Amino acid sequence: MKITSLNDLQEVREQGLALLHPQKIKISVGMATCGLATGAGKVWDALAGEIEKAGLDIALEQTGCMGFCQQEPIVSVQQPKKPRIFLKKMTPDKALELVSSLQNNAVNTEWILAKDESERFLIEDKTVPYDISEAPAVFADIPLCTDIDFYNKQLKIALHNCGYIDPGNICEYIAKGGYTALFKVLHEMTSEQVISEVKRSGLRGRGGAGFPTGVKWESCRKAPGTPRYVICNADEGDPGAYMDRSVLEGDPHSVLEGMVIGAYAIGSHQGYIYVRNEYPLAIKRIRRAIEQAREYGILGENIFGTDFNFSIKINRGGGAFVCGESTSLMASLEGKIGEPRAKYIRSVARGLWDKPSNLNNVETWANVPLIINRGADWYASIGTDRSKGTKIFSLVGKINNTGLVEVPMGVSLREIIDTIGGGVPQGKKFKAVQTGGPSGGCIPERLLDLPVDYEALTEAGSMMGSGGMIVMDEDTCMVDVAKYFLEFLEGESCGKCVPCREGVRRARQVLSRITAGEGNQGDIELLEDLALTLQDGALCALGSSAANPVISTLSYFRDEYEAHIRDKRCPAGVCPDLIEYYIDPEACTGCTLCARKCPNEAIFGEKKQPHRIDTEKCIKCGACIEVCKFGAARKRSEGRK
Amino acid sequence: MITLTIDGKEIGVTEGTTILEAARMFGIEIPTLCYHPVLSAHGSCRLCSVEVVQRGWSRVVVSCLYPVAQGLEVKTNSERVLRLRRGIIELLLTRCPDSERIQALAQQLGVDKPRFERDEHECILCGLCVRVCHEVSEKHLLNFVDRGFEKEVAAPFYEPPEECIACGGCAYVCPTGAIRIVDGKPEFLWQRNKQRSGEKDG
Amino acid sequence: MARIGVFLCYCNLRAAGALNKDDVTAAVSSLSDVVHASAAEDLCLDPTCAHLQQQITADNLDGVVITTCSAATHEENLRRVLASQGLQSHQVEIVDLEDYFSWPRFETAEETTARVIEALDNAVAKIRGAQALPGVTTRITKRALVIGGGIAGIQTSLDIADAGYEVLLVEKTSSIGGHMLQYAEVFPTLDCPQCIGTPKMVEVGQHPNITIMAYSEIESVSGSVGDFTVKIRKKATYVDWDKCNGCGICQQKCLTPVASEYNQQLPFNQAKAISIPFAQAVPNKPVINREVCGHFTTGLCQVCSQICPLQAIDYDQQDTILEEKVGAIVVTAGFDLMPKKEISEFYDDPDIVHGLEFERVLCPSGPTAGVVRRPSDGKEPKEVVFVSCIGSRDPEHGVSYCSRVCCMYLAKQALLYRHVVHDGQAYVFYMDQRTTGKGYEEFVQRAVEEYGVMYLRGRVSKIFRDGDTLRVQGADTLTGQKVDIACDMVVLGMAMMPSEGAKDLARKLGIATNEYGFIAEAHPKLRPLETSVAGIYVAGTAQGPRDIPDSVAMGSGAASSVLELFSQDEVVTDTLAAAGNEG
Repeated sequence: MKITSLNDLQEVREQGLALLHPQKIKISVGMATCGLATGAGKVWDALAGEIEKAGLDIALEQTGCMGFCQQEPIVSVQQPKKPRIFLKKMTPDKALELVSSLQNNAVNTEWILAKDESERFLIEDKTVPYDISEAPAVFADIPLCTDIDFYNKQLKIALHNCGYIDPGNICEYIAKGGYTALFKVLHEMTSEQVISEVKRSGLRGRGGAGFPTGVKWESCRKAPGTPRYVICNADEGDPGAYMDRSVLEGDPHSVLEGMVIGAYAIGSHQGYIYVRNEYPLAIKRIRRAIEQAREYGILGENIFGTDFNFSIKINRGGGAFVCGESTSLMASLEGKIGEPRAKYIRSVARGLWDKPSNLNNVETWANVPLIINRGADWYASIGTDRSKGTKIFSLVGKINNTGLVEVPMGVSLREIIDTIGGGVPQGKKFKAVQTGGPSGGCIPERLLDLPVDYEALTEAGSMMGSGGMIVMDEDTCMVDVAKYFLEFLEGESCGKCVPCREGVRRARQVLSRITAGEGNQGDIELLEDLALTLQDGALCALGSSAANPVISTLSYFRDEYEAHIRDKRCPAGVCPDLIEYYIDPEACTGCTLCARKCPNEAIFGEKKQPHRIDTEKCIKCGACIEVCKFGAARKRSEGRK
Repeated sequence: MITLTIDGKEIGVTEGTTILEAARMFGIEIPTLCYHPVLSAHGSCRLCSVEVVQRGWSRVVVSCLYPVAQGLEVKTNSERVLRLRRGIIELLLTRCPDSERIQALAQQLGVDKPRFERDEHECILCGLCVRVCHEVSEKHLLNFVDRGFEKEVAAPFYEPPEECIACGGCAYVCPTGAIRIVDGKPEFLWQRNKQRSGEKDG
Repeated sequence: MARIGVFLCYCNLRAAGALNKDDVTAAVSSLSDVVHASAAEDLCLDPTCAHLQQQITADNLDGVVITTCSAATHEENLRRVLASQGLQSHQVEIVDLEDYFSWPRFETAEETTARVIEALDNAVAKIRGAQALPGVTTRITKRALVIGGGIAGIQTSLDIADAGYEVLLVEKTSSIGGHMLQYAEVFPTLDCPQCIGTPKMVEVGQHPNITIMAYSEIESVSGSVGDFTVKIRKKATYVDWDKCNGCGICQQKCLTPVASEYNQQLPFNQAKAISIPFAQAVPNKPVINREVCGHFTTGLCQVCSQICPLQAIDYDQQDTILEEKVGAIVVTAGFDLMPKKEISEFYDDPDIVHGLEFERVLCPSGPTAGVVRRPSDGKEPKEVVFVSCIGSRDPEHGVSYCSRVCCMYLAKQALLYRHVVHDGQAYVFYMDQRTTGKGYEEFVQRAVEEYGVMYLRGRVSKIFRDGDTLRVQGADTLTGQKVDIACDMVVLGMAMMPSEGAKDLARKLGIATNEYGFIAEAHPKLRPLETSVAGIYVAGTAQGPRDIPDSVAMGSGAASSVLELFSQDEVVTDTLAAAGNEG
């Protein structure tokens, strides 16, 4: 049906609410990519199969990523008159058991991560309590979601629907208050009012650059020339970043609604979503969302019965990180080679096909409807002076609670890592956190009290970037980290400009030499010179920020570089050419396990006698260390002159 | 008419002129490699970089693409710019040590021996040949293939382009002589490389 | 001749008192074969020379000796009158008394009388034994050669062609039009010269009787009036103009920019190695400048040749020499301005320009689209000084003559400058105001009164660069003050010279020039269109500095002279044969 009135919208809303809260047991399985990667698909099959076999009247629904990826697959269960419970690390076996235990009105509490006793309707600023009159006693000790460390400090705005709705069903999005912002915009607001509201909110681009979104929309609107284009950058390429993926997989309509509102503000009738081809599930979800939006009269001609038209096309990327850069993205959309162009004439004035084009990141678009619904003042009340609202971070690496977190700007890095993230696993010592991907830098322990804020992170030598946050511990070699990022950029450089194509290559070669024990006096200065050439000379941000990982690790961990160059030593014990594996004869019990596991037969020794590693044959795979129960197999880096 | 200052000299040019065009019109020298006055500007060699000051902000831009603006202040020879040019030419000298043009520029900029291990490319990927083939002969036979350091100029499927009209423009504009004229037709780097690797295999 | 009559014509003002005419006539009568000797006054005043005719008939004279004051002016008429009496050229001897005495003389009347008697004796002796030589009859080739395709040459060509005769118009550059087409607006009408000139150029190009040989020069000339053989060098353009249709794609695609000669090498635009000089060129065909062309310099480029849809490029083209026969030649080779450096090295400054350079700046179809910009930095000059008489009227450093048009065009340029730059100030340093043409005086007054051009009477003593400005130091003789103006640009009214190569051309044609290379006319007052060689005429600035109306008038005049020649089928020329008498 085409929604043309508030009545229509209300009708669909009722349908959605009925799906969200059926008066029966409802099981939601987190089926985003992170969930699927840990086996959610098999859990789903098991549940579906079992429910059908037993002929039960249980609603089974797919949902998006709840953020606590460490605990995936996550399954939430709603039972009438009981709190909603979230089950962690589900398996197909547990799934089968779950179905039967539900029939017996019992659930294995060891599986429960947390519970919800109410539901938040962020758009209406309403918290609706569940009817928990028949809550089992055993549930009393289960913490609320909002009370567990992982969720306690988070404030879900862009992710508010993820994990709570079926992303494949527009009615559930509308049930949570979705598309009321768009309805209001089209019926009650002028384009100028929309722009003014977004400007006042202080929303800044979430793709990394942090440019004020409202100002960008205004420039695009003012630029002469038609048609105008609205683009969503879903080419998320930073290694370890998956914020945009989760939004697209978990709540695609929030992005669509944001784009239509933006199109109305700017005066555009054609939009593009450029999504990387390596996100097939996201593509599937956004495609479905667009189809449904069209069916319901929210995309296409006469949106919501007004005379505003807007359509969206999806473009898939071809596997180039550089196409996340806005001008390369537009070139790629035009069918040309994905190479950036100089931005002296901004793309808001001359972008896609030389027409005014407004490009924003997925997360930026997802924030827009809430700004309209709750108002600019509400949004501006969250965050710091210069960075308003929240930011989604992908917390990965040496961290206990790997996952997707959304925090208000201003929360400190320490809170994110220690409290939300649960600290570094296995009692290892925290070393640094890398933010901003290959364009960012490392922040050491002493600066962890810095607030998460665009300017603060940049001043510390890193940047907010798209939100990737990689935690590193004492076993991470910072020179190796720099080399890793440069290798990545070397492969992804488009190759157009000399500083990046040549400079990144040469910088990587220098780092390769250093990590191979062939560093020379003057290499650090050489890297610093290359960094300046890149900063000042590169055509786009890929190149101009390519040296950031090097410069920031140099500024905080210069001693590691010097150890590599001068002493040919890798203090963290990572660089293969600088370490050797050995067995501590004191600790070795001669169990022969390592000798048997060694893929190259490099360990020899008599049973019950201390074993030895032949360093000539050792390929440094680390298998011996992994299997040794006595901690006798170790590695060391003694250096050489 | 727009007035701007280049190295302290105030000049007047029409709107839409780039800094490089404005400078060269009045005898101010800025080195270039990938620029040709008849072809569209590419902005890839970055050698023509200059420092511009606008509304109190100073940044380094490429003069072949940056449009003049009223009151713009341009420095073509500041220490920052010269350092950048030296950095660029050092990288190019590493890549193409045998090119006379690169050697001459390096000497001009005071760069002696690059600090990197010598490479032996002939092509600096300036794109002049590509632009000639697109804009002059309009045959579109040459383009860049591959990405990053592996990038090279080639014709479709690395075949000698049959539709080439032998205008010689590509060889004429090539700054390193990577394109030569053999029997009246252009001979490209990839053809020579193919021959060389053919010799190696054969 | 056995019956010779001697007529002593004397003008009261001249001969009276200085010559004893009775003694002369008496002495002459006693010469053998002289049957008549008389003196009469003012023979020249009687157009029919009735007195002469009577005497010839009465005395049945078969030989006549006449004295005149100036043979150059009278000889032709006298011989014509005598010829109508049946006396052929060998039967008539004109004695030019000016050869013998002019006024005043420092000798006695007796001495003068004796010398005149001797002269007459010689003259009688000459015709006594004279025999008729048959005149040379030449069949007139009714085809004209016009050298130089500027406005004078265009006019000449059109007039001759319209009268039905073939014209060969040779022009050394690749297009006709000349300097007039380069101006911004012409005085005093402020017409656009491209608008009024191009229809004429097109007319020439389309005229069935006119063949334009552009990019060609005269190699050699032989023959005489009515029957000249001319060798013309068609210089290699490296483009086959028969195939070329002037589409201009070669120029567009050419990869070698070069300073534009047509635009006086101003920095504001560039031409290409292959180019058509301007959009309305006739012929509208390109020429390759092989000094800069990539093909000739490197051997690599052949873009134009491969791009040309008509395959008209021919790098191997050579100069060709064509031989043509014509009956009359008109020299309309035009002018060039004296180079600035010839007067002073200080003038070698980008902002000190000469009139033609400033015209290109002012011209709406020029390199700045009519926006006034100065060459050193492209900014609009707010103070411009125009200086007259640079090189002209300056025998010490330049030429002695006045270049005639500079007063007018400097006023025009100052007016146009003020018209475009409302807050600009124009100064003109002048010595005199030579505004002799129709509407010229009023034009200059308009420049002063309506456009506020400031006129300063005085010479400029020094022009030099002072940082961003030019300092012009001179005097204002009307106030007696020294003047020192710091200005942005200086326009010099450089002397007008004959065009480059004019002296060489004159030598090939065998015609006389003055010391500056301007073609010498047969008589400065009465025969301004003829040169020292019969059948070769001159028009326009090749003969001397002048403006466009006069050049056009001369062009028509020269055409008329040619048509006069072509109205006959033959020309009989006097033979003067010299034979040595050995012994």
